[in-house]
Amino acid sequence: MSDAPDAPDVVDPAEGDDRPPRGGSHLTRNVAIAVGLLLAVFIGLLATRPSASERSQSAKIVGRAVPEVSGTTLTGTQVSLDQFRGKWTVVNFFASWCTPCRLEHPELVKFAAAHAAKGDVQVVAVAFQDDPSAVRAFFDQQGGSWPVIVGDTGRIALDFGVTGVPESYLVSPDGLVVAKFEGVAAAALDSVLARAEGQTGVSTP
Amino acid sequence: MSDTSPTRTWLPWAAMVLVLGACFLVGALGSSGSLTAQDRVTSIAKTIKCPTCSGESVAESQAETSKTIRRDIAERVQNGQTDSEIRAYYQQTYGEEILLTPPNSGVAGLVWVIPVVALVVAAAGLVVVFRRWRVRPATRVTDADRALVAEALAAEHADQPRP
Amino acid sequence: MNLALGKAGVALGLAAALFGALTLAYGLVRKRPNLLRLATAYSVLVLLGGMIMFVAMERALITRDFTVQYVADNGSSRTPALYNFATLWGALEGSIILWAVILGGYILAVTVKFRRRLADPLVGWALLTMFVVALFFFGLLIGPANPFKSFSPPVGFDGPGPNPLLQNHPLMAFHPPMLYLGYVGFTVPFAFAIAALVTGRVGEGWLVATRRWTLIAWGFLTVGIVLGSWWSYEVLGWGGYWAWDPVENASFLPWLTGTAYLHSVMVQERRGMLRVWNLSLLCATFALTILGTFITRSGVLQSVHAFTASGIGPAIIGFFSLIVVVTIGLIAWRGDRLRAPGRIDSPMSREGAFLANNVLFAGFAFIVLLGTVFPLIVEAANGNRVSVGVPYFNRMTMPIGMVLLFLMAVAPVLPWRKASGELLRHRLLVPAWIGTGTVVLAVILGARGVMALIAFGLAGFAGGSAMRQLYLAGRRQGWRGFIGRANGGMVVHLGVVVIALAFAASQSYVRQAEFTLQEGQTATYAGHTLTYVGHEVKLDANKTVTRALVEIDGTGPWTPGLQRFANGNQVIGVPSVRTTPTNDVSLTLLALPEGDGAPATIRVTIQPLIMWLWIGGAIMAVGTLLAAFPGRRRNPIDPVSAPIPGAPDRRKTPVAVG
Repeated sequence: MSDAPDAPDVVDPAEGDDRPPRGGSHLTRNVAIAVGLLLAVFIGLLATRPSASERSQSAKIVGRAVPEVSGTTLTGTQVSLDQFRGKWTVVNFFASWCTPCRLEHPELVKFAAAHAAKGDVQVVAVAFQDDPSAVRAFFDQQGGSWPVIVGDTGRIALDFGVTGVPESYLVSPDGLVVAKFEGVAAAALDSVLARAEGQTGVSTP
Repeated sequence: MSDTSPTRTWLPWAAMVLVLGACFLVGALGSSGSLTAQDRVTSIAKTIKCPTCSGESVAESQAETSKTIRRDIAERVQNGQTDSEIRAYYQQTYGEEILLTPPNSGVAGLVWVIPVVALVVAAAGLVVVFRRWRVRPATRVTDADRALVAEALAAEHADQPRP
Repeated sequence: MNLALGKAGVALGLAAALFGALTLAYGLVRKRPNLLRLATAYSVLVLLGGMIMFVAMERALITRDFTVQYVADNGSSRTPALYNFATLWGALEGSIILWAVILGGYILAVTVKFRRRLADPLVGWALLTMFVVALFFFGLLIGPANPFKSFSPPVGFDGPGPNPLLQNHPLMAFHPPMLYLGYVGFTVPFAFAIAALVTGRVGEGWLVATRRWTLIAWGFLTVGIVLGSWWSYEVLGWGGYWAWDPVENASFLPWLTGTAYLHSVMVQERRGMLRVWNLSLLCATFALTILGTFITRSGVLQSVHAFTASGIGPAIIGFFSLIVVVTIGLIAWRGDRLRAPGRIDSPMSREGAFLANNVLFAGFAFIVLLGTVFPLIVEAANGNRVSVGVPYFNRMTMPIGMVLLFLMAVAPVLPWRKASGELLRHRLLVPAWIGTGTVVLAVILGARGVMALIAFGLAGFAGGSAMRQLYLAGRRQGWRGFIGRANGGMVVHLGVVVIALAFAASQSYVRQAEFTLQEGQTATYAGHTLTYVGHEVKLDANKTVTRALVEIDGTGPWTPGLQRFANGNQVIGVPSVRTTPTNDVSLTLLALPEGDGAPATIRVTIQPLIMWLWIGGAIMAVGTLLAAFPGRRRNPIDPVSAPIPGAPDRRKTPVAVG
């Protein structure tokens, strides 16, 4: 297992370390330091990244015209977002199997009730990858009386760039997507709505 | 060892080149095979990331969103949209990260450049190193070494008289 | 009971690792050989601790002891027995148990193998390093990755069971242990590299002595990666076996640097050169296994193979930093002194080929690493999010793969020191014809596309070269011509060639389509006929399985299905694959037929030569075993390659050695 004996290369600790060694250069040391610096940056990068699950997806649709939202509701009627042109709308993507959707639903109910009298905001829900009977059971349990589009809603979700539920989009009266929410609270909706109304100068009587 | 006439040596290799050339010609010409619309959908789908999955492409994932996107791509292919138009639509809706091929420009475009640069640097490094090995011997003989050798030879000479 | 036992095991392992490290450190610094010999006792205790906690957790899983939090989170009374056993490594904390146990085993193996040299400081430093690594992993089990947390299950509690994707294929029981045997195995050569750097004794063959350990670890890693690839293919339902996914890349990176090392260490043995480079490769390989652990468990990058993210990330990145600091520090401090004054005479020599091999593998690893972490870099730079996926990796690594195939063909026939064009032409003629023949055969069989044909040609060329070497060795030495390092290596090369052929074919000629078929309807695609015959529903203890019955070309019926697990809303597809030596037809059921007589949507994926990927992997494993087989001990300075024409034949004259 042993080689023919090499020239002795056990380092004599009495030697000064700053004398250039046999090869005559500090190449290894310099390369090692350079690599070390690179790795330090690399480690810093890795250590400061947020976990993938914490990242929220970007919302490219915000600021653009609202895509077509139409379909058959739970009650069997045909509904389209165009019907509500002139009002603010909240398009809410949800699913009955999604726990955060269950959690946000009471907030939507509260919000819808608050604006029902004024009639300035319409909530339209779109069931995402869900079964109509499960959606009906969900609404029977939790309440809410806005139109719920069920059935083959994949196209609508695609156009909005929906990547998960719940996602809600605030749409201005002239059909512009103004904001995206991942999980809504009535207060947050109201404040964003107020700000958006102030900016666009549009408000409904 | 066979005779080293040039023809004899190179003939088999020349024949090989001819055969290979013919094969590649056939391979290149015949490669526009019958690609169905399905194949085109699949090839586009392979470059689009599934937005709700952990890193799979739309062609592979079985998530509902992926199925919807595949259906959508199929519709667009049928409507005659080109590959880049379809990809552009998805980029607009979902952002740059839905495309599995990194962009060619900007900071992100560096991912294409850095490996090429690294390769050039590595190749240059190898050339430099080989040249240095050829030009300069690794150890230099110093006068002290010469003296040492002369001394040792003298000692040996003194100990063992040559016949 | 299981909890107490498990915690005791962890504590024992931790204490043994800690005191082992301290004892060895003291013994090394104070030069007390007696203390160094205690390493054996400590390593036995570490392994004992590991085995105790392993047994405790398995017992808890098999008896469905829900007082253990890990079992409550991952076990279930409805999971079949085999999968309960394998659940030990199915989730994060348990996987660390497996890692720690295997590490304990390797440490004991080192103390046994080097039992006559335990007093040697080099072995002492190596074992010290291994105890420190063990300290880290047992430390994880006490801290952030504690699997023995207690839990009070409410009455009638039943766990959710392992992730459904982890309980529908028996490969779950084999892939992780193989992979870990590989990962952990690299700790041994790493420890010796550190020891060599610390003591300065690089030239005594220590790195060469650990070559067999590296080979064995590399072999396990190879098998682990191939099995993982096979498992993905069978389970994930998209006919893919390699997706350049971050976790897959994490396992591939140490494999690449390990392969580079296995080749360049031969240059060190033969010419005494590249010592510091080899040390760096070993350290990099081990560091990459730790980095891989980080990527798989920290949630920093999305992956379908990743464990659920947890708080373990900071600990692992901390350990990775420690390794980097120690390694770079040692190399910067010692490296220049340890460089050998040799040189490589000519690029056209085996040394030159191995050097090129190393540059290519290093470049390959660099590209894979860059592509994997690039999204993080861009996000940190300007907040944008980009994806770097399959198209990038394929485009960048394909040229490297081609050049590597070419090198694989030429290098085995290159002699050491210098080669002449005439020599190469003479030796490579037959392999070149085999390569040409492969291209001709492919074209006759209908393969088209210049890139694929080039790949086939190069693969045939490399295969021909390997077969030539084996034939010559067999003719010269009989059955011994197939064992030992060089010959085993040629068998491994053959395995790689088979995989390369299968890879090129399956990637270039894949066909995929979706069909919605009524019952009794037939579809034709890519030369195959598919008939949807009917469907069936089966209720298992823990899942409902709906299967479509499909006949492929009259054979079958094949049963792609969808499994809905009782606990949770997950619906998992179960593909059905018809495998023949020529191609695989993979069926996936996309949409449940709603009621009798309803149509089913089925996806078909047809890929040629898939089976040969696994066969190639098996050939590589066999080759590794052959290479690890102890060959005839040979004096390293005996000439082995054919004499260079014109030079005196030294075998005729006795040469005094020493």
